[in-house]
Amino acid sequence: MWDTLIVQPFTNVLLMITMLVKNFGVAIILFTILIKLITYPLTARQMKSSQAMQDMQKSPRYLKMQEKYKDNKEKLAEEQMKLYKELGVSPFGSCLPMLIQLPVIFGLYQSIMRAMASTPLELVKLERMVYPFLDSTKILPIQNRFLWMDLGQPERLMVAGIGIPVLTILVVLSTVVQTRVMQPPSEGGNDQAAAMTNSMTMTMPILMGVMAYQFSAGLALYFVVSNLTTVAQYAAMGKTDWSRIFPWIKSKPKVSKPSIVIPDLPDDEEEDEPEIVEKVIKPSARAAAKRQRPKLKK
Amino acid sequence: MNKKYLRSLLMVLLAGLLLASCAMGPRAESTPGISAGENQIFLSYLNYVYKIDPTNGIAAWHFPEKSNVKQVFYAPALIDGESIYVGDFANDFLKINVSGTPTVNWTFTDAKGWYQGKAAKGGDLIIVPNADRNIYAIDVNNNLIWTHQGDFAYISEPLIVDEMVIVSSQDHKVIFLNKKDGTTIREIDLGGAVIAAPFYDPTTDSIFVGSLANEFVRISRQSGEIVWRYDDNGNLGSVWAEPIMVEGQLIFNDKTGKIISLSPETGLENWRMNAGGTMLAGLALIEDKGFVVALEDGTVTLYDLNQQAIWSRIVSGNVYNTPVVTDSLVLVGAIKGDNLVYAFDFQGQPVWTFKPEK
Repeated sequence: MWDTLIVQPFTNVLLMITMLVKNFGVAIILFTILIKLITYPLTARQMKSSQAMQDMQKSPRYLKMQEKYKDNKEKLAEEQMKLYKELGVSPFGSCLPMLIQLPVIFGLYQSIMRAMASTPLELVKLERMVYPFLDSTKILPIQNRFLWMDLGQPERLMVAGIGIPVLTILVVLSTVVQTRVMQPPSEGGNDQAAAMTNSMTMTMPILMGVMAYQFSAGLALYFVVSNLTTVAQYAAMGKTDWSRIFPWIKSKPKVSKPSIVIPDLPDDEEEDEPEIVEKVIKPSARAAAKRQRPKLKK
Repeated sequence: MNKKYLRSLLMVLLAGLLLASCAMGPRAESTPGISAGENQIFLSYLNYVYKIDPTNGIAAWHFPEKSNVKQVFYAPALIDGESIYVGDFANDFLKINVSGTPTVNWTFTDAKGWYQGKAAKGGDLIIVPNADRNIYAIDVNNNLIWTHQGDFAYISEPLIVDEMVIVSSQDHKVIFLNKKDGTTIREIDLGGAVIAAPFYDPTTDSIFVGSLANEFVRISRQSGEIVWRYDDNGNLGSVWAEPIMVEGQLIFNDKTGKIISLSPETGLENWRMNAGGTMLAGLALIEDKGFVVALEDGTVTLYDLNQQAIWSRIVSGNVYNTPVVTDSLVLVGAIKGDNLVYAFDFQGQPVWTFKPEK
């Protein structure tokens, strides 16, 4: 099912591009960009949702809530959920598009691996995946040579007898750039989550580098192109803060309006009143807030 | 749940997956490599080369003693007296003394790619195909004599005839090399990848080989001329395995399960039969008995030359490699089944099975 619906069509498109451009390396680059373009609406939605969440988390009301219920996690969670409801922001808003994209990303990865069949058994399996209208005799096996690389083998550029893993270096650098531009601003956010995100920012490039060093160059090429395309998409949406990567570039003050308008709580609700009293005597406070429920900016 | 937590959770999961994949070693799927000599059977599979006792199917030893995730063996070992030559997926080609406890005599480390095809020996020269697009010629003392570079990974066993090395190439060619220095004598384009090893018939002094271009050809060894082509009027499937020669008949199979007997001289059809299933493995000859057919679905059948089935057995798993015949056994390698190797006697009785210990 997975193979028929995802991997097989992807593999055939990849093979078609390879036939067209007559170069598997170029085909991987074009195919990765193509998939990134197709999934761009989802990426954009994810970015918007993520931005809305960040705006909310920087709002005075949210911060006050954090401070107020810092010793009562349950109450804090409850209040957070109420706020999400009021603002129409879903905590899963940025995860859902990402989850939809995951099969596409895995399919893309698997199709590249399948196309680089390196054993007779893998070649048999690849031959079976080729649609009848493509002449497998002419396509298979794929010529894995691209620039100095054999895309089916881990890449090393031999310079004076030393194998330099150029693609691995590019993978690490592009992953650093990608994770940094995607990293949400830490101010106002949850410290623990920010710390985890920071640690991921450190560990992801290393992990990707280890993968690129050990696995075939074709996969490393895909990593590089995918990372760079993601950065380009962020840049196209104006979400890239280059000062995070290049410290000599001054960070531009944000002129964009927040994606959501978060009303502050009425003063009376900020007071530390017994909960029971709040619920019984002032039911209108929440209703008032509901009436001025903000809408997501388009 | 906080969005950042979710994202972090996903990233941690992803990191876990990446770490797990890093510990897996080379990412390639292949089949068990079986080779048999006098009273010894060797099996290359995953992290070990096993020496199997032909009488009971028990592994006498495995090499290396302690596995290394990066060292993966799929290429069948070349047996040479008390030594074997075998390459791995860590790009090393080893000569191992197997008379007692296995000891490495030497390791050839010049190659940059995986070893998948069996090596061939002619005199003191070992001819080794490698996935780095090179054919290496090494002497028995591990001196590199020559290298021939092609366009694609070499994955099939080279053929040595007199002073000629003949190799199948995935770039649609059969390449004839000078055994002394590796220079190209000629290249014959067959229009499709050639996965099967070339087969030599001394009577006609010809090379017979099939290709993924759905064709089977006879090539004159001396002139390189394609003497005849057989494509069953456009109905032949791709050919993945070498033929056998028996009683003046050249018998081969295509992927669809067609088994065809041709006259090696003329390429005219003697007879044909259908094995009844997909067939990537080649035919295995049992002298005076017939030939063994192994279908992908695990059906193993011995046919006589009148195409009558003598016995048929089903093994668990999928069969992609040509069965190996010893002086008294038929060895069938399978993947995704209960066992890795199934041994039958020539009457089709199961003798033993082999499954590596976990």
